[in-house]
Amino acid sequence: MRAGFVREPGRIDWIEAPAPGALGPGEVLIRPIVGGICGSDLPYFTRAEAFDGTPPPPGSPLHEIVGTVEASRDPDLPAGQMVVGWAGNNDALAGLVVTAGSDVVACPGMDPAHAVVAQPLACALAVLERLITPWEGKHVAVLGLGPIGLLFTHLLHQGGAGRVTGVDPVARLDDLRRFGVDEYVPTSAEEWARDLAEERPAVVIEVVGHQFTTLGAAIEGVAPWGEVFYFGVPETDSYEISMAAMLRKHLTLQSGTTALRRQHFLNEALGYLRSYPDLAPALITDRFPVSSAQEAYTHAASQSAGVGKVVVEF
Amino acid sequence: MRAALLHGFGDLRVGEIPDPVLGPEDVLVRITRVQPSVTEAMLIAGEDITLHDHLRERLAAGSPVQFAGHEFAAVIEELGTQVTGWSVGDRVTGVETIDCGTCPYCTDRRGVVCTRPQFLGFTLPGAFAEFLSLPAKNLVRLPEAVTAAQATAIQPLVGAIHAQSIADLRSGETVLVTGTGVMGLLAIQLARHHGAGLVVATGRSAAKRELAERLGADVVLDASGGDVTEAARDLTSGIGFDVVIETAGGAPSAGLAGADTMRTAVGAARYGGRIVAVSVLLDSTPLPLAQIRQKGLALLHPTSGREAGAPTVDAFELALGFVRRGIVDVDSLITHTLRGIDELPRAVEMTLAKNTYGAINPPQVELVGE
Repeated sequence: MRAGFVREPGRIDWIEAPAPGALGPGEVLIRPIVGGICGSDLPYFTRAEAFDGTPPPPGSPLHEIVGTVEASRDPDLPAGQMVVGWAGNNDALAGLVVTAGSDVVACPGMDPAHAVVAQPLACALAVLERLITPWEGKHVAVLGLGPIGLLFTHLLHQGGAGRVTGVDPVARLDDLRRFGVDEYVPTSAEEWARDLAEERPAVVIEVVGHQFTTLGAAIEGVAPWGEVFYFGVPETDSYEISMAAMLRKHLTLQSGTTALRRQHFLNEALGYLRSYPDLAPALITDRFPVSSAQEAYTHAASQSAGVGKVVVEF
Repeated sequence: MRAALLHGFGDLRVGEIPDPVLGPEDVLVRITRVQPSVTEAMLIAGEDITLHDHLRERLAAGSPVQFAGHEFAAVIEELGTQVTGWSVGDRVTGVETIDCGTCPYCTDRRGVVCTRPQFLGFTLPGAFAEFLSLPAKNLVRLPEAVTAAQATAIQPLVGAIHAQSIADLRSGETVLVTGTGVMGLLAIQLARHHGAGLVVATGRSAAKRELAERLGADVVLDASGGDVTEAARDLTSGIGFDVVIETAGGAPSAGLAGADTMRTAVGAARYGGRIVAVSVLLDSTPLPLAQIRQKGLALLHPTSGREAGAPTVDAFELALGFVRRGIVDVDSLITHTLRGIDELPRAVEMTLAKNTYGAINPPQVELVGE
């Protein structure tokens, strides 16, 4: 089968890769229809390295997928169904991909390009469920207004947050109020934290990753007794953080991936997208044919104004 | 009056200063017994931990700083003109955290989350002195059955209660307590009392490990030989602990175990587990964030002060009740008592070298006999 292969930084070649082998129990074979490019995919593309420093395997990086079940060893997911979810090995930039049946759910009747938004939305829903601090009615800040940052702001606003502040030096999309942003701060996270008045957000969600400064800003900016959720992906094993600030402000720091209950959160996300049918179309700014995957990733990696969710269509 | 004055980092001396000024809502107390906290001792030594910058600025301003003393027992000497409900001679201790009364939270009657709190002994004069003036609202009445020594040791127990409260321990859960110093030994007793299914502790001192077992730990691992993460996790069949209470870390100059203890805590926690950071780590501590993310952990920092968990619970009264009813043994932790105000600098010195002196609790200093 054909598969994308990041041979060198910023370059995707199409190569002939071995087709997946026999399915294990609970696994499904999926023919991708649409893939969504996630911020966590971009370092694989721009550096030709996975996070552990190894070269990305063929088909990588792509894990947000909608596709058709071609074969299944999951009794709940018969062949022929359209599903959305995770390609568990981040290798869906290929003609076929194998993933766990528990990583996908059926999404009949939806525009596949819209349905693919359910995957990042599921991750955001899982985070909000894990927050220890009751955020309803409270001020919440989201650092980083890329596509998933905007899903957070939408969920927070609709979920009853008192005020949603979005911080990003680049306004990626117009009219951020559509995404629940009550207050847009067009600066770096450090500047935002430095300039805050006494009233501070009870919860700060860091949706940038890959460097330290935004986490430091989140810790500095959050209110005493507040909570920081580090959603971004750390680049190194450990980050030096101000334990003095954590202690003095009695903070809670959480992080994590959506490793459990993926189907629960995917179904919740699909329901949310049906309730807010304008959300996915507003978020998706670019559709590229998969043959132009290199252009799609290059465009997504620009993270410039006007670039929201970028999807590739197979 | 006489009080301990910090002339520079590592230079604490007892000297003469004016008596405290008594405000209308304040109470003047005579300190009967006091103990340094490890945090105070680290700050006196100049370690870069929380409030270090504040102390450095005060020292740079020129005059010696009246510093330390938030763990104490006292007797009321004089009442401010507007104070009611208290009498001269009442035995008391005090809540170290004083809300500002003016920030948005305080004016909204939510002083517990005051954004500009002051702390007795840290940002305000404390009990390393013959007398202390503090707001009457910060007084805690001592039950007759609680001794001055127990009362002096009550504030760390309050801290342990806050840690226990934020850990949100459920019956049967597994708990790892890293460290068998005072905070570790208190955490063990509280975890046991609150229904932990398995309490494992780690410690470097053989004597403290023995005490940890006597106070309720099911298993105590020897941490003197290096990393115990795997050994601890094996005790949960490799799953990891529901709750890790990290009390071992801190400045090695104070006899504490450095910053790697957080790595042990993260490594030993189960997927989705909770870590309560009780230890006062150096600022800019490397945090194993990748593993925290991979395991989906919550890192929690307990609050301080009077309120604990429920609005009707006074953490100090709860702590005194635990001691009075024998639920928590603090007497076994009090290993050294010095006498006379001139011994305050020595108490700090011994606190920084507790292992050398075989001390568990920081040495207490008796200023006035009961």
